[in-house]
Amino acid sequence: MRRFRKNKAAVAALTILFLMVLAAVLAPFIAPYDPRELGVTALQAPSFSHYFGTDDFGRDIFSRALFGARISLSVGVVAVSISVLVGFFFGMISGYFGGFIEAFIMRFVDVMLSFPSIFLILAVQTMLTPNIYNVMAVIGLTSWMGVSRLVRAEVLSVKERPYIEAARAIGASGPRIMLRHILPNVTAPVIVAGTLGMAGAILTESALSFLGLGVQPPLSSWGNMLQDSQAYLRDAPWMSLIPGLLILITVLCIYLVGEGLREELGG
Amino acid sequence: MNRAKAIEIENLKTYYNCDSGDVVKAVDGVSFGIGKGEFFALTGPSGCGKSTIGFSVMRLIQKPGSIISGKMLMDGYDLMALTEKEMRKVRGARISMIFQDPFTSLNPVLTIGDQVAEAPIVHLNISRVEALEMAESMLKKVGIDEPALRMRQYPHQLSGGQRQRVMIAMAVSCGAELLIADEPTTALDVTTQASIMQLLEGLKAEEGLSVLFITHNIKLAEKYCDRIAVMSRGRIIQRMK
Repeated sequence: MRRFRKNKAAVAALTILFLMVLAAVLAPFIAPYDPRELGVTALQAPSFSHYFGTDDFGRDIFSRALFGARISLSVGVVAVSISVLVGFFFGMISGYFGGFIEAFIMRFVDVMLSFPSIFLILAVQTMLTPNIYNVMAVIGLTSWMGVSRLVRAEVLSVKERPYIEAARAIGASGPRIMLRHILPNVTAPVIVAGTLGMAGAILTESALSFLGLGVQPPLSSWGNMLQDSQAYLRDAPWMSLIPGLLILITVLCIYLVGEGLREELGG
Repeated sequence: MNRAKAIEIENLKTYYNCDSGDVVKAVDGVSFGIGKGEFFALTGPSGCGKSTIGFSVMRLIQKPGSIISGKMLMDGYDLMALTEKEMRKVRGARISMIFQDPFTSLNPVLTIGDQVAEAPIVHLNISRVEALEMAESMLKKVGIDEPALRMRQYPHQLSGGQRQRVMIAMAVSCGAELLIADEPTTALDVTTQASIMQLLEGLKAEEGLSVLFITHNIKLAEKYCDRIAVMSRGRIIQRMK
């Protein structure tokens, strides 16, 4: 990790992300108010009693942002985990076996990629009950194609290396070669892609919640906080600035960490 | 040649079907036998089919190529008649193979210990801990110093000669009777070559290991091998000693 540590931007970004995750995990202890508690003082500007001000229902935005971070960050992590698992599976199978299986899977990937994914997600979400678990699943299942292409390409190059031949020569079976010899050699670029994918997943969740098809009120996510703020852009700019900035900072930090990892791991 | 045979190869033909429609007859009717505890050298110019014979015996010929005909008899069984699953039990347990380039023949992300322990785990139905113990004693046997330390290291921390020793340890860890050595010394310097050859000779003396030694270094073959076959264009054109 020498090169990563030298990359000051990446280290700073990782620190910020770590603090955000910590804040999200400790949200119930840090938050000064109940994020769902309605207050008498709506649309208050930031002050010492409400650090980020209050929204149109008088709810404390600082507390809502903390709890929103839990949702937004966990959607990012879970959605990316799903897309990496699915992408790994299809990429490994098509790269290793080749032939008809590869052609079939890769054409399926092309089909999936040819849908504008946001419309696909919207269509699916309107049919499902919009809750956080569906959001995670839908984002994960519409974003694995890049990973599978990446994994396939890596597997194609790794499976021709002499140590794979050597593994065959000691009698290792196909699944053993895939899981034990090829998989660890293709993880580096996938870690990088997964990191960058997480930023995309957080953005998609925000967009979905903004359109009202993601996380439903009274639960807060950064996306639906933005939605709530639409009517008050002039009167209460903090309502949109706070969640907007949080999304911006998080996504930027994730990208910086991803770039740092790319340099380190050569993805 | 009255002694027992480790393997008897009869009229082996391995062809490669090119996309252009041409058929490359890499091995075109080769027959030879290797006695138990014998060093048998296959030599010849590049592209004469000697490595293809090695891969054919392992039944590891890759796609455009295939074994057209021939028999490979081991204890009276024809390796050609085995299913892929049965063949997997032969590879690494009864016949092993080591390769030319020890720098790329070890998996860079696995420790030496894990790689040497793999064949015992696959073939001997023993626990990982037992396999690792076995691996350590194998490393000692092939003359690697500080085996306990090496077990935890990765291939890039070892020299070329050490890596080739590790390959040999992997190959003989399950008591293989036949070792196919595909130019095992070509990538090594002369002194290391000699020490690797001495290691193979030692294994032959101790374990009765038979070796199919594929090389284009005919001097090395003359010095260490009992019999030499010279190949050209897929056929054996001369037999010596």
